[in-house]
Amino acid sequence: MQALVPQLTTLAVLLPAIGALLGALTFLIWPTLKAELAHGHDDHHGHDDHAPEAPTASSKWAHYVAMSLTTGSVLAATVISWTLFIGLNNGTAEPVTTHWFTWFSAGPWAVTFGTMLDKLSATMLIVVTSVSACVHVYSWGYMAEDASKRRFFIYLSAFTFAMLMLVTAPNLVQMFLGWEGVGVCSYLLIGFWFHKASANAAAIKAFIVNRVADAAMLVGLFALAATFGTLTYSEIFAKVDAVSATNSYAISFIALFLFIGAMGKSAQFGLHTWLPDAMEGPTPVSALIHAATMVTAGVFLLCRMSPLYEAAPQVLHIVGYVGAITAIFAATVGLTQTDIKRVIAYSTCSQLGYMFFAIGVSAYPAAMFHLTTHAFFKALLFLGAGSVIHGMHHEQNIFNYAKSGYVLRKVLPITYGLMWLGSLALAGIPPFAGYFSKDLVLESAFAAPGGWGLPLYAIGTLAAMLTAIYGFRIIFMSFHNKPKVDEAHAKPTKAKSKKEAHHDDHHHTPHESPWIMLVPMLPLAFGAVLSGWLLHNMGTLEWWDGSIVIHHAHSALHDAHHIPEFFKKLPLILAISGITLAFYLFAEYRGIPKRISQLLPIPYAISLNKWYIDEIYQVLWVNPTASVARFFAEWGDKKGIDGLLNGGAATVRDFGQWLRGAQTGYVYHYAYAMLLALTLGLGYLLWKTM
Amino acid sequence: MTHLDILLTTPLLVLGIGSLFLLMLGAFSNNARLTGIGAAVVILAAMVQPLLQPVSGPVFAIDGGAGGHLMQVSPFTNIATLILLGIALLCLPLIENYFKAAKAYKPEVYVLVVLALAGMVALITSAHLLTLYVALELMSFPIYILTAFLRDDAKSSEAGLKYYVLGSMASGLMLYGISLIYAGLGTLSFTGVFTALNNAAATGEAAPMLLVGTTLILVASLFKLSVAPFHMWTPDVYEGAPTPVTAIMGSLPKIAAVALLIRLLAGPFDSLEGYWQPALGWLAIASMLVGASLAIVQTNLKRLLAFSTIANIGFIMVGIVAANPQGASGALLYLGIYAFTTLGLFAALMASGAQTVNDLKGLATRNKGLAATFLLLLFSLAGIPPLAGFMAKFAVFTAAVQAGLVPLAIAGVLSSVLALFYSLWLIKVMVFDTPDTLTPTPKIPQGLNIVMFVSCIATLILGIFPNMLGNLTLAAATAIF
Amino acid sequence: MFYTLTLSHVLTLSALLFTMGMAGIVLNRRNIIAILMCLELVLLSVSINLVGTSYFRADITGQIFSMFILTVAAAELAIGLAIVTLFFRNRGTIEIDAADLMKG
Repeated sequence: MQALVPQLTTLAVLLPAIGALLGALTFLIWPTLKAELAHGHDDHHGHDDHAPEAPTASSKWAHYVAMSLTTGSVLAATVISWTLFIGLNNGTAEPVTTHWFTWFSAGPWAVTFGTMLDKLSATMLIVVTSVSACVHVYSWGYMAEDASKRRFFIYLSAFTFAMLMLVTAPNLVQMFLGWEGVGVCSYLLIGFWFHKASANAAAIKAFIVNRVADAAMLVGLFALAATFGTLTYSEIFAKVDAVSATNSYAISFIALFLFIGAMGKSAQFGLHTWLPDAMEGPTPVSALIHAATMVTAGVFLLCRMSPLYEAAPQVLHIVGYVGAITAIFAATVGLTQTDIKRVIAYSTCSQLGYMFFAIGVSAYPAAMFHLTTHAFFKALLFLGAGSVIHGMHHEQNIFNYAKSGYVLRKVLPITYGLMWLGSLALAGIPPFAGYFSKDLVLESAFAAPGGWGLPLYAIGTLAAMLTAIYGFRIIFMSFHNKPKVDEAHAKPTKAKSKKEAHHDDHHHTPHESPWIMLVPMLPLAFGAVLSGWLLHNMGTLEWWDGSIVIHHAHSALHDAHHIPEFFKKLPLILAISGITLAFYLFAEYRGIPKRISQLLPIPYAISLNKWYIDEIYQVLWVNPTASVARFFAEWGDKKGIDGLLNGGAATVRDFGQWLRGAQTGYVYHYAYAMLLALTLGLGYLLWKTM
Repeated sequence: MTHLDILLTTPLLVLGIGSLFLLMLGAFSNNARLTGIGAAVVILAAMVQPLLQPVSGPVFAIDGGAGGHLMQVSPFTNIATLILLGIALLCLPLIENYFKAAKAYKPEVYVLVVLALAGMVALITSAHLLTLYVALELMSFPIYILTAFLRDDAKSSEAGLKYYVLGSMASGLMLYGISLIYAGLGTLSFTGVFTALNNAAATGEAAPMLLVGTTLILVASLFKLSVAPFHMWTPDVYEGAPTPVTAIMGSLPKIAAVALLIRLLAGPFDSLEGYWQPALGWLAIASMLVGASLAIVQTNLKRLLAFSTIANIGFIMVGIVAANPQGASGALLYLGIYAFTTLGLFAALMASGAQTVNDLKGLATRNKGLAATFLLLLFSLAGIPPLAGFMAKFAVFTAAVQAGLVPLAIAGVLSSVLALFYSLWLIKVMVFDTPDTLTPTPKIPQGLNIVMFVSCIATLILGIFPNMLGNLTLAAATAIF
Repeated sequence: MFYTLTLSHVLTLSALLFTMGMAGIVLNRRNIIAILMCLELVLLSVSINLVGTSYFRADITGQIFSMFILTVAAAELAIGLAIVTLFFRNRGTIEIDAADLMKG
């Protein structure tokens, strides 16, 4: 086994890339189909003169070949990842670092590629590949009617590859390539329906917000390189103590800027604005990228850099508070959103906040544990939501489900059941997965040395209750309407497709999703139910075999088990009361929420409008930036830079035009130029000898 | 010299004898395509020996009796030969379609290409100024003929005439230089000149006559390389020559000339480094500037590529001027990468049927694949990572910095911004300008497809794994310093 | 009065011939044939140099070299005349000024 580990790791990382490449090669065999182009032309010419053509035999093949290749490769990568993970867990395999090749080197610097397999990357491997495999299979059903579904699958596999490279990189350069790679794939997938202006805007927003964070991250990386002289993890960790002794300020600086980068990818408060908008992408994308994998990259990065963060305790405090603020902020916003995917998106944001405040109290194992369980139940919730959306013909407003006139729990019984499992796990009800990990996070916060984590505990516990409320608000609002209410409403009028173009008009009644979508949800449901119990060892430092390092003074995780029993149970009690409350508010007495909102207009408005963050940013950043940009565009750019550049360009052109005059076309002029140059050169040389 | 050692010169023997064989084949079968296949076989056969022992092979010299060594085979010449012949293979598919359309598809084309290749291999391996002269002429004559190959085309014969007159003049200059070296030193072999010049340098000042001789010899290779200000012929000849010949001219002789220049500067003229290093450094800067700034004002695409060649040769000169193994290795790496990128661009040019920049307007809407090929190759030429062109520039600039030539490296980096200008301009024209016509480009012949495909794949692979070639060139370059 | 012939004399003669040849190429603006003749003049000057040196240094290489030059020059001239013929066929003139289709 051990002998094969390096090859297997490499294979697991590269397989999705191979799948994506082979999938892309189908475009060589079957070039872009008219139907695939149709949407693109709409935007350019403003009218639809390309009726989507009926799929011909070969075009079907084009899709199915690409889909099989990508899905197959990711499934294979999943099997390999689990083999590696189980091997590491049983001790039949050892952590190993492999060197693929050196890209280039300059002096002492060498940019190398390879893989690093340890418990940390193995955990990420199984999370990424498992969710990705489920999402790939699920998309066979969800994207069945999309004209350019092979493109979708190619992007998905490419994303999986970038994510795997991110988590298995042995150095920060390769990690950063993966980091940017997932960013690009995320951009492509959010904007997958590029004929929709809102999807384009969301994709651009996600990209730009992440660029802001990445800029900070790059500063951190540069500082890291300048301070440590290397970007390889093992070499950095070996030097942390020495550097910390002489220059602890530098470590804090690096840790802070890397954290800002992580905040962007992981949608922490302040840089979270892109995540809800990213729900414009197809739902499988939301499940894979914006719930289970890419958004956890920040958490992973901080855990990976744990030796560094342990040397920067002030930054850990910042991490903890940012996480806690995100957790409570997103939970309050989640209460009032009406779009099913946006609720889950804010839930993701909130859960990521939990992970960060676990890191803040140095409970990295708790963060990784929660990351793992969260990946399963949140992906399940998203896929469940996707199933509802699919069944309801792309209706995403949970209020409209109630008005549709159908009782969704009867129409979509399997989805309903799976959503229950996911929501119970999210709310942290034992024995579901979320209970184990979330409680460990909260207990660690409570046990933080010196009690500095108590506010975090309080915020987190409150957020846990809100989580239960908004989680079950979805369930009760979507599935528990009463048919008698709907007599007043006639037939569903809103069933018209709001998202991608539907061409099959016979599907007007809501329907349970096909088995190809339901089956991949089963492993996720299994994970949502059992992963907390099966993987509870992840919550201990020992399990991580040194891939996570905790300073001995930061004993939060260690002491987590010794906190008073009441505070251990409090989150659970609140969660259960939250569910009960949700049942009464959103299933039994639906009038009450409206009354509450009228009674408390200001909190309601704040929550509904997402704390006005987008508006604040509009005033604070976007408008000033826009006016500054306009100023610079007018005065700086058009008159200054353009002048300079165009001036520069014009100068070059003028120079070129002038030189062109020498290019007369006459042989004797050319000969003369040669002889002249020769004479001058000889003159110079002879002058030098004298 | 044992009987087996003669095997080391098989590339030259195979190409020389092979060209005669191809001449017979062409004459009796009158089948150009068959001759073309024969040429490919000959080139492949010539590659066998250097492939067997690319960098581990012995250094072997053919003794010319009292005159000294005539030829020398070393790891460096092996790698240069391999790059040359590999690129030559890539040139062959370009020929058929164009010459057929011009009604001049004759077996002689391939024979001339193989003959020129024999000259180039001889040039790369020459170790004596006599061999150098003969090899240079053997390389040049077939290309003169190929340039003027389209008999009824006024531009073709004018290009041939210009190339011929200026080329003969350059070789006249070189010959005169050789005669001065001979008069001054009494020897013509590289080792002899090296020793004599070293002695001259040790005893005092280098005699002016020797400096003049050296300069004149170097000028001939600078002319073949079209280093400014010896570049004036390049645009006219590129424009007038049949496009496949332009592609050949833009890649193969450059490889041979660069290999020769590196060997001359590291070998016989090593002791004059203090003289030629600053002079060639200025010429490198001049080439980069002239090439980039004149490319921007061109309307004819072949002329534009000619100036692009001049600019790129400037970058290669940066590596050569560095005069260290890294520099020579970087120059070879750059040359290999540049050669297949240029071939790919010429193939794309022929496939698009465009003559002027305006013909490329809106190519992206007319033929996506072709536009993507252009995009990739132009980006590589402009030095955008992670494409091969970036690695090439990186290699030569690193070498210049290592040699302590920081101002030159800075000038190079600034010039690459200028060079970016025309690449991006072409891309802008292709992607953003409204096309004059919406007719799709005609079906692309298979030969061009192969060249473009290989070129794109190599651009990508060498961008990510530059060491695949870089390690070889470094080993080769280390062998001659 | 007689001078002894030395290598310097030979070199000076060939330098004169070389300069004449080069000047001929640059200054001649009429006839391509004249350019070919000037090229021959350059080769001749080189041959004189080589043979002269060979004599004074008692080294055979220079003479062999000049043989090579003779041979190669013949081939070169043949190609040159062929190209000039082509040019004449296409343009009806052998004036070097006529070769200005391509410039800039």
